[in-house]
Amino acid sequence: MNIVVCVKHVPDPEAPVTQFTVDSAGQKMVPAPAVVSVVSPFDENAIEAGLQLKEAHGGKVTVLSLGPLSSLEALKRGTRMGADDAVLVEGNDLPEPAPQTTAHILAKAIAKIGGYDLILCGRQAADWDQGQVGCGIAENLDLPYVSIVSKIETLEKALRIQCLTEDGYEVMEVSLPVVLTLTNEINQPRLTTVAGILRTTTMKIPVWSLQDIGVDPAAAVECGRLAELKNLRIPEVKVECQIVGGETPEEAALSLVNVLRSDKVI
Amino acid sequence: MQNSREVIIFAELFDGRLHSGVPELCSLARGLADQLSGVASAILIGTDVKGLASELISYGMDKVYAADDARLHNYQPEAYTAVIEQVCRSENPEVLLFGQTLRGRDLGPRLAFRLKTGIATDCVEFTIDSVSKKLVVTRPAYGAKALATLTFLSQPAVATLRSKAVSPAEKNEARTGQTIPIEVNIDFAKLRIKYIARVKQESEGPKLEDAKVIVSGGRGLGQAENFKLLEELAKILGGVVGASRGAVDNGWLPSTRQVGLTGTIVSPRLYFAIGISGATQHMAGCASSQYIVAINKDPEAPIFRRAHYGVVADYKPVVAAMIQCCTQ
Repeated sequence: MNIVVCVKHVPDPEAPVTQFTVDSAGQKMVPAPAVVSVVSPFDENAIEAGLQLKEAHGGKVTVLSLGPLSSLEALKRGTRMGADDAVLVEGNDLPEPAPQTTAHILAKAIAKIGGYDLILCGRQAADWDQGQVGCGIAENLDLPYVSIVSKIETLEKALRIQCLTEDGYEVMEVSLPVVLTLTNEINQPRLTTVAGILRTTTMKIPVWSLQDIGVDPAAAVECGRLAELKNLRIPEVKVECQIVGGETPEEAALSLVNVLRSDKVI
Repeated sequence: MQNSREVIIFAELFDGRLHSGVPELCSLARGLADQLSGVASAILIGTDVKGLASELISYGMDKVYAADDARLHNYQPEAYTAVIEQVCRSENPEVLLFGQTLRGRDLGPRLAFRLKTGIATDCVEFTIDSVSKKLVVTRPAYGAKALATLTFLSQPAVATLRSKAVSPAEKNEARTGQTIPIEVNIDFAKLRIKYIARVKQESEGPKLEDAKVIVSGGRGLGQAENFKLLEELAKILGGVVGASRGAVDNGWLPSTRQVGLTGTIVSPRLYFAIGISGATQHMAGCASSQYIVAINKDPEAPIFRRAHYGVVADYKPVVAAMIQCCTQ
C-alpha cells in the first residue's frame, strides 16, 4: 500500500501562552525564540498509522509537507520514524489561514507523487485548528474522505474504519484510494527507529517549488481568498486563584470542602 | 446576485432526536437572520422527522427543509453532503451553520469545499457587519491560546458553532413555519463510503456535557487505576469523571470522556482539574465552568492561573480526605 502522509511543522503546542505574542499587524502568532517547532501532534499519529499499515501490508510511506525550508525538520521526524520518502513543497509567505490554498497545493503535489492508495492527515493542525485541509485534498483529487478516524483495518481494495461518535464509534467501509484524517485515539506515535535515523542522515529530501508541481502561486492564493483574517489576539485571562491550604492533606481537603460549601457549589 | 438573506442550520440528530446543541444553533440563526432582515431555516435529514420539524419551528425556525428517507437513517457523509448541497444550491443562503460536533466538523468542510466557499470552525462569536452585511466570526486558534476574527468574502459563509457559546433558543409552541420536503435524488449504489454499524461505548449515567459536577484527571494521575478515586468523589458529588487529552492518550479513559478543544466542551457548576497542567487546549473545553478547582503538586502549573480555587499538593490524600469529609 502506497501511503502519503501530510505533515505540518508548527510551534510546539505544549509551549505556554506566555511564550507567544501577536505581530503588530494582528495577523500572525510569533513564538519566542525558545519555542521549538514540531510535527503537529495529530500528524504524528498519521505517520504512525501509515508506518503500521506498511509494516503489515508492504508498500511505502511518503511524508509530504508544505512550508518554508525549515519544514524539512518535520519531514526528517517522519523519516526518522521510518517513512521511506519525503517531499517538501516550498511555500513561503502564503496567507494563513487559507485551507483551500493549502489543499490545492498539497493535492497537486500528491498528484505528482502519484501511485497512492491512501492519503493520511491529522484531524487538525495545532496552529489554526481548522480541520479542513484533509477534506480539501479529497475534493481536489475527487477521492472519498473520512474524518476523525480512530481505527483502520484493511480489506481487499478497501478499508474498514472506525470514526469517533459522541457515545462510541461508527464503522464505515470505504474504497481505495481515500483520504483519512486521524485522531489521537488511533495510536501512540513511536519515537524514532535506528534504521530511520541512519537513513535520514544521508537522505536528500527533494524540495519542489510551486511551479514544479504546476501551481500558479497567484491562482493558489486567489482560490483561498474566501475568508479573511481581520485580527488575531491573545485574550487576557483574569482569574484570581485562591490557594486553599493546610498543614496536612486532610486540612487542605476540609478547607476546600468548606469554601465550596460556603459558596453553595456543593 | 440577489442576496437571499437566509440563514440555514444543519439540525443534527442524535438517537432520533434533535442533538442537544440544536437549540443553540436555532438561537444563533434566529439572531443572525433578524440582523439580516431575513429568514432562519433548518435542514433535517433522517427518518420520521415530521415531529422534529415542528420542534425546530417552535425553536424559532421559519422553514424546515426535510429529507425524510429511510436510506438516510444512518449517517452517510456523501449522501448528507449531497442533500445539504442541493438545498444550498437552490436557496443560495447567506450563512450555513453547523454545530462544532463530530458531525459538524465532518460536514462543514465538505460543504465549504463543495460550494467553493469559506468556512470558519469552532466559532464562539458571530455578528453581521453593519456595512457589508457579511458574517464576522471569532474563533480560537493555536490550541485556544489566541482568538482570531474572520470575515467572509464568499457566500454562503459556512461556520460551526462551539457548544455552549450562545444560549439555547426557548421553545414557543405557538410559532408557525413551513416544512418543505426535499426529494432525495442520490444514487446510493455509487457512494464510496458505506455505513456498517454504530457502536456505543458510553457508560450509564449523565453525559459529560450535561453533568453539573465534573471531576477530571490528567497525566498527573500516573495510571488508569487512580481514576477510581476520582470516580468515588464524582459519585458522592453527583457528578461524572472527565479526562485531559494526556489521560486519554495513555488509554486511561475512553475518548468520550475527553474535555477540551478536540473533546467535549463542558460548563458545569463545578469542575475539578486534578493532575492536569492546564494547557490552553484543555481549558478551551472547561473555561466556562462556574467554579474551577485545581489540585496539582506543581505550584507553577498554568492551571492555577485559570482556577478559582487551588490546592498545591499531591492529589491522592487530598481527594481521599475530601471523600471522607463529604460522606460524613
